[in-house]
Amino acid sequence: MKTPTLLLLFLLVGVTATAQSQRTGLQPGDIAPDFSLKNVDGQMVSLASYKQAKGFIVVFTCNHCPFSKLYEDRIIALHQKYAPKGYPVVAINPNDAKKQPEDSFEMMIQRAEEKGFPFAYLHDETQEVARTYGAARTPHVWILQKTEQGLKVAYVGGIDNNPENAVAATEKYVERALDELLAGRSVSKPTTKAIGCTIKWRDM
Amino acid sequence: MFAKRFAGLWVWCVGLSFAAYSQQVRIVTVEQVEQLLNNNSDTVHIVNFWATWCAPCVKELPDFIRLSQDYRHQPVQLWLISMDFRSSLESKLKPFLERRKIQQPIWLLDNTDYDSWINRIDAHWQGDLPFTLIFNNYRKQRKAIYGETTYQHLEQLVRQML
Repeated sequence: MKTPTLLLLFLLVGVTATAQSQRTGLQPGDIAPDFSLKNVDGQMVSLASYKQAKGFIVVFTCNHCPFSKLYEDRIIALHQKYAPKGYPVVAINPNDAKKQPEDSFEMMIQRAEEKGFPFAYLHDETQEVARTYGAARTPHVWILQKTEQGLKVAYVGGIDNNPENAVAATEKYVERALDELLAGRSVSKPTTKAIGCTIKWRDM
Repeated sequence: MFAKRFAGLWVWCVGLSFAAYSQQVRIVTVEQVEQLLNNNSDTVHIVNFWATWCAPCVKELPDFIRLSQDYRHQPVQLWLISMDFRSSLESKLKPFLERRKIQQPIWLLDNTDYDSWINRIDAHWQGDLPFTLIFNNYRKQRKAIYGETTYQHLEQLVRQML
């Protein structure tokens, strides 16, 4: 009687360990849950509040990370190009301010002002959204598409293939995915990988 | 006579320290890193992907170096693979190594088309730095560390694979 229970326990532990080592999160095809996070203007923002949007470019990013900084202007350009077409950028800073003071809410407000962010820059203070989505680094992008089933993940990955020089990028992953979605096609490259900064998780 | 000899010695010393800091960085391709990862010798290889711009990487770098020194009489080999841009080799990487007195050989992986190769290094790695692989292919042992680590954790893994 005891053995099966123990066996089940071991199996469960095993499954959990595997899931963690593979660091699963929301993959293309998954339905993404909405969230409610504080924006730099002090207002709470949820995806449901964007009534006109066809979807979202959710970007996990932050203030301090040099790779996030390299992509800031490109993230602004993505919003300017695709928000009028129904896909606004929603930027989320998931970093623990205790570990990285430059990523505090106050510093987020300052950064958003300096750069004139035209999009929401949200503070994931509990890091719950980053965990749910499976964000592993900054910057890390999820493109969501509004469907009858909910917000469907259409793309997960990097922004383009040249962090150092936007002009020299030969593949613009996010732009191509959005162009395909807007043309009613499926995304030809639904996942990519890129180098970035680790997310500064809180100590448990 | 003495002065002349000293001058020679001085030139030699300066040359040596110059060599230690300037020739330690080798520009490598993804294929070279893959070859390293396929090395079948009975050696524990510690391969750390880092960058000068990555604060947690810089913080843990001394632990990697200390470990490789503590295990220098055993088959343990440390490989530091910098993800700094090639264009910042002279302006950032070399001054960093000099400032920190790091004399270990460094590989600079010169390929920013990350999506083309990250999965070839490790299918579960999302590209976040630091990232470390510890392996002994001869003993069919391999472990990946996503994110930061500690001397204790590294040592524990190294001992398992020796």
